[in-house]
Amino acid sequence: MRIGRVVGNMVSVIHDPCHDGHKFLLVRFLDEEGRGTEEGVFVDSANAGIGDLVLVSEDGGVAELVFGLEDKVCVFDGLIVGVIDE
Amino acid sequence: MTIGRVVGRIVSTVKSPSLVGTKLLLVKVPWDGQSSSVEVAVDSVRAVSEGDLVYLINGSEAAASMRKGPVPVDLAIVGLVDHCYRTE
Amino acid sequence: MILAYVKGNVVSTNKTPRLKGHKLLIVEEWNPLTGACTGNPKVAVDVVNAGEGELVFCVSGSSSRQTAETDKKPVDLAVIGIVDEVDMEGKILFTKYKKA
Repeated sequence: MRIGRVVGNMVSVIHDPCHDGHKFLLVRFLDEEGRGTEEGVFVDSANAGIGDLVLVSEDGGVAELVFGLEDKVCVFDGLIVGVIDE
Repeated sequence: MTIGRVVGRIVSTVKSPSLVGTKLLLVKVPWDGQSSSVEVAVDSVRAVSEGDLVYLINGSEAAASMRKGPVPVDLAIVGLVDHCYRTE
Repeated sequence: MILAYVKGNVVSTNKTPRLKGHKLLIVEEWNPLTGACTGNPKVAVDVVNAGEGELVFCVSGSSSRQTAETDKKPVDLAVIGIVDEVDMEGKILFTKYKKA
């Protein structure tokens, strides 16, 4: 898992059917100085919001487990699994 | 997943048999960066044209978006971006 | 996938048995934005019978093992198609066939 900050969101109407009803957030991964340039779009499972520090899992299999879609075709490469308090 | 911009397309006659019938597009990723690179992506949405902002999935999960068994694809367009908000 | 030019081929006799019978090519990534190669040649397994000087597209990582030829083989870069034409921002950047 990696730590990142939610820096934005994304809205899409036409998308893969398995993404229906999911919230997409833009996450910037942080380095040891608390900065970072690497960004990614992730599905949210922890009710995160813009500005939150989040825990991101970069594994599609984790997303399938969290959403209970093990027997379906899933197109995820990771998801937000938690909001960091401190 | 990453956000990219569709900048072109490629035509290929000789290709791996499982890729027959797929649309291959050139996508600039990341869409706004200075150090962007242009990569070839498969269009799984089938509603994308040049200039569109799209989001893509990379790695082995990209093949799953095509729903046709094993396909040698590591970058696929899975959605059209309608709205994208970013602080700063 | 990346666009790349085939720069040459590799001959290897002593290799892991699972790679026997595969053609190995030297490919160099091509950047359509600058029209130049990036100067980082790599070795790829050929599944489409590409030849030197051709523009091809390559798939990397575990996805490169998803073809009938490379299934369960120790491969991390495969040439999966020969490019006929590249069309970017309304201009034809590359075409394999000269137009009359």
